[in-house]
Amino acid sequence: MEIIKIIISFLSSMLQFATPIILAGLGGVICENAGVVNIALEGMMRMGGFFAVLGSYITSTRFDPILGSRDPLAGNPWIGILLAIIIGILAGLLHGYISISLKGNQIVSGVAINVFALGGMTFFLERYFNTTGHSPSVNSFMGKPLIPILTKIPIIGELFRVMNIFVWLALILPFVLHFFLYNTPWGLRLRAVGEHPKAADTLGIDVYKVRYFAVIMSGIFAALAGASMSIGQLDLFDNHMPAGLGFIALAAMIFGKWKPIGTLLAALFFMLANVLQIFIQTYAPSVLNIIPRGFFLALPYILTILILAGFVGKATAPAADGVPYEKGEKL
Amino acid sequence: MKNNFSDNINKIINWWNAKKEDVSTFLVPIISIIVAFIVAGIMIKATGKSPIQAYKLLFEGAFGSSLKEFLSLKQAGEGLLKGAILTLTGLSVTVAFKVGLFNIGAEGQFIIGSIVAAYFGYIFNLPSIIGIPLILILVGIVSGLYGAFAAWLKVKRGVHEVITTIMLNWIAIHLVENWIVVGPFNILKYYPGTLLVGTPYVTDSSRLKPLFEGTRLNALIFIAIIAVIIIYIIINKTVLGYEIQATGLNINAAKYAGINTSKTMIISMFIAGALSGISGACMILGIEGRYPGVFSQGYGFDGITMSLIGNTTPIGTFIAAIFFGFVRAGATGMQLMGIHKSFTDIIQGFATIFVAGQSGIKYLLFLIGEKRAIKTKEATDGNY
Repeated sequence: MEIIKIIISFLSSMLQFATPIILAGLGGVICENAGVVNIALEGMMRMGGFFAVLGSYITSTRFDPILGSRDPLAGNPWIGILLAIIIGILAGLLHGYISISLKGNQIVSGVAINVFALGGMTFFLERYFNTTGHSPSVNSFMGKPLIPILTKIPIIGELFRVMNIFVWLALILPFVLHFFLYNTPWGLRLRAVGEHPKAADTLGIDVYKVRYFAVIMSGIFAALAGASMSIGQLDLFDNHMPAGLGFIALAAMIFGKWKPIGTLLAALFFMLANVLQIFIQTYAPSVLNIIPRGFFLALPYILTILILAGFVGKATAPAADGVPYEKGEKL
Repeated sequence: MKNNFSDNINKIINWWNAKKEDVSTFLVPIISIIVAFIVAGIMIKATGKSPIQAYKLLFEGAFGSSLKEFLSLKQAGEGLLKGAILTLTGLSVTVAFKVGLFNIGAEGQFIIGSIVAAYFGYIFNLPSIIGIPLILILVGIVSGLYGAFAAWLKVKRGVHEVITTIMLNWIAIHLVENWIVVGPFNILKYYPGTLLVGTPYVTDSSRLKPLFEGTRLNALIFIAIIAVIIIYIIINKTVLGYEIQATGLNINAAKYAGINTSKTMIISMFIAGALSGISGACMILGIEGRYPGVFSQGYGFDGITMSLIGNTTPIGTFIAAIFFGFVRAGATGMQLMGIHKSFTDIIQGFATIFVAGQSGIKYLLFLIGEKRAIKTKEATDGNY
């Protein structure tokens, strides 16, 4: 019985940790399949995470006499999600404007958004919460299962306890996106634009419009990923967020061969290594003397390099990934 | 009289139209920085603070509040120190750009360089004049190889360097900060009971000493200047530099011209890695004195900004790096007003965004010339 409990708690940690990576990874998938590289996932997650907390905070109307300000726990986390989505759209538009309309360097644009998010969110944190550490606890989805009735199931009920709205989204959206990309005309167009924009243009597909759609969706996914950390896993925004998870998401996307379900599996696999490390620390700390923690944490990245180098299978990016498209350009 | 005037205007327009490509190369970064400061100023204004007051504090924080204070290098020395670190990582990115590669891995190479310098700095107890150059050479080799590995994967396995260098960054961070610094090279192993986290301090002879009383400025700035000169000479005056530029401009043409482009790329990334590593080493030997527990401050990522704002030339990178070095040092002054020092990231982020969208700025710049050209053309048309 003890062992089953450990397995269930292992699985639920894995699901929780993988959620932001899956969501952000899907953002990468949709963007890169349309031919726009998005290394700004990290920055977009950071923005989404902060504005989700802010959205929950500012909707609180109850005054707390002890704090002398509004009661942070009385807000509406759904508005938090909404605000995160709006900020994701804006960030996506910015990245799109530079890399699609201005045909700027997509990687430079991504770096710029990451740098901006780093300083910008610290600035806002200080502006709204007078701190550069972490925000106060706000009303969130932490520990609020989306379908509470499922937690009544014996044994595996524990698993559903951690499954808030974000975890469900992370488990369902990969399949939705898979259906979208491979079974709908819009998805086909999107992939055509990423593989051969010239051919797509000749067939009457508006390359710019499709790419804008993709980067905006990517911004939304990444912002949701950030929100899943700040008002999903926790109930506050910590200034260290998202601590490189945006780059793990990028790695998961590549490991998943630029496919939605592949990304889901890759994210789960990466987090397996991470959760394993935490469990070893709690249940068998002596193992860490032989294999240090750093190795478990570096494993996703090492595996990604190995798979890219063709030592473990082979991953290929969409053909026109990262190439700005100029209308009327000769090939 | 009127004709004479429009002739002059036409002359200016013609000059502008002939030179606008070259001139805008210099104008774009300057405009980007100015606009970045304005936009960031609006953000300060939006929080109910005075941007002019903030920028005044920034300026005083960077250079000191009087000429005497400026000359004592108490504050200005800090800016130069930061500028020197940024110069080295910026150069690293510049060298990679020249060969046509995007080195996002400066951060990882910086961290590898830091830990190697912290280690050798601790075990070496040689006279500074021998010990410090020796440490820098060893650091250059190790982090150079770390950089070259990404280029090797690119030429042998066809893996895009952006992805590999990002991955190598995080491999470096995790292996160093979650293994070496907390494990085999932890300060507790050498000084049990200490409250410090990180690695032990380097020996006194391995540290760069302040140039004179009252400032922290040390020989680091000379290391950066020497690096700029060496890289300038390599790129512009040597066969290797010619091969690097040819490969970067058109890899196929370079191949047909008989250049071993694979070798050139690997050598360039070795140089790039070595520069970032030396930057990290300078941070340890010249500023921190040891590898603190958590270190990643983004100097490697900042190098990308420096290189881009400096038009990916060694001298330009140096100017941009010294400028932002002062901005970073001065930002501590803004903390008096309750503006966190990470505010510089906002300015830097905006500047990079504008440089990334430079075709937009160029378009606007060119529009001025074109509109005037059309107007004057219409005017002269009317005369005939």
